[in-house]
Amino acid sequence: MKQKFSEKRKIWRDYARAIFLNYISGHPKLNATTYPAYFQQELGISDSHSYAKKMIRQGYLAWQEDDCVALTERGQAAIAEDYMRFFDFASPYVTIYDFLDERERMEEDTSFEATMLSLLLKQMKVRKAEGDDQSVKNIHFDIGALYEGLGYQEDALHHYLMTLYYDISGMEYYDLLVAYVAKKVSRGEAQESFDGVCVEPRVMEGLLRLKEVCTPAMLDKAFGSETIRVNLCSRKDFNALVEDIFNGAYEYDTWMDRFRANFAAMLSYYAKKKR
Amino acid sequence: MSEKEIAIQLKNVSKKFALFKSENARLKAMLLRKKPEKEKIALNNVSLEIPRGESVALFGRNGAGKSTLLKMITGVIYPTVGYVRVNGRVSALLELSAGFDPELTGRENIYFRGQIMGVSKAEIRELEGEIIDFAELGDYMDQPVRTYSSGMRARLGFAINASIRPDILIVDEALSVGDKIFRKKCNAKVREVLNNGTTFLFVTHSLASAKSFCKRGVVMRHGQIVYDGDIDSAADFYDRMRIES
Repeated sequence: MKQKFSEKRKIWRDYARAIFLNYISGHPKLNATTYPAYFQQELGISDSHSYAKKMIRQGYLAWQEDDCVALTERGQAAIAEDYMRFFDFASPYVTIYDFLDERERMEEDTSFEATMLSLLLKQMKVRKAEGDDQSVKNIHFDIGALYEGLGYQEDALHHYLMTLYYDISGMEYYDLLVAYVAKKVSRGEAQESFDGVCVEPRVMEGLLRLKEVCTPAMLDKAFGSETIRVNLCSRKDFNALVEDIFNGAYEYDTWMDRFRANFAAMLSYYAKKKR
Repeated sequence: MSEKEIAIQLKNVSKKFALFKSENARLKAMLLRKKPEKEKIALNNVSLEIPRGESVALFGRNGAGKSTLLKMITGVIYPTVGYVRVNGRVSALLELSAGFDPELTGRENIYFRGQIMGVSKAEIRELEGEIIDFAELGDYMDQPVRTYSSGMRARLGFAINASIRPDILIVDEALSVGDKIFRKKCNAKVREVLNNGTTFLFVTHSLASAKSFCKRGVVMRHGQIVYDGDIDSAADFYDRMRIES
């Protein structure tokens, strides 16, 4: 059930306090501490020095020798593990309110991973419906990381393969292709605007860690299982790319040339359709 | 991973700049809440983690997004999307001759600049001697900075930024400041800072310098990270990219 405004304020207060106290536990010399900018940007703590003193007044921190502070029992209890894990996970697609709401809704497994997986899968549906391929790709990667942490290697690999599938789709050129079909840009301009596609290093690392569990069926399942608005990659290319990554034979320039050629072929296809 | 272990974290970070034909067009778009005609994507879905104490070289051609990335890490600009988290005191050796009050003396500027960087007066007092010795400005230390040459400003800037015991040190080709002897001193100073476990981010086009200071290399292109690995492999990757371009 969605939280009321007053409940949300309390949640936010508890969350910000947990992150702050956890930071201070590693940087106990208050006067010498440089507080991170994200305290203000993400947590709304505009004056960290004053906030630290407030934590002391409220009994979460206590003065020690040498101008240092330490967490009290109350302070230790305030650092909820799930808050820290949520913060460290840093997903731009879910809020702490979503997380707590989902955990309350779930009956069986209310672990951090289960809750995040449930949330991210829901978010993926929303983003797919919006046509936000970039976010869908990022969510696939996060889901892969969660599964990998839980030891579900096949599930993790599937999501890393899906991330790769999105990475090499050329989704960032959708608007350019629309402009080309609408005759707002010339063929030359469109081709010149092609800057290659980016296979993120973290995606390759994920694939390499789990390559032993990969099967041809998994590649088939990953390719074409989701509709993307643009796809620069054939099934054959996808399989060849994965093989190159697994064998340490991935050559950036060779593959960029191939994608460039695929992009040119796509432009030719649309040019024929336009006539 | 807890924030105690990670010095710099970027997650799904994008930065877009709206481009307008004129200032009037910008004002009109702002008032009418219109989307800009053109957008420049300086960073596109960048994710990066640098653990505490790691030394990382950042490679890329001009326009690859390195400066935007550094500005986000130093807090000059914020991402359009995504998270940027930096844990610890950042000292950036960028544009060393900027950021001084020209009417204050070199000595006074040590305090001025130190306080801007969040260093307490007591700590600056402790470091003052070390900074003055390093800068080698002699009697000029008590003259207004407006009387300094650009080289002298750069020496003072380097001395201050490298001495304040940063948790994270960012260097953008600043090791080429001054004469050969001073540059040797700067290199030694950076090594000393690194030996103290400081996290190091080094932006350079010099593969040799990068290999001498760093263990890890990240290559950027068109606002994205295209390679992230050990320094030798990263340097080779960047070198091949440069040649083939």
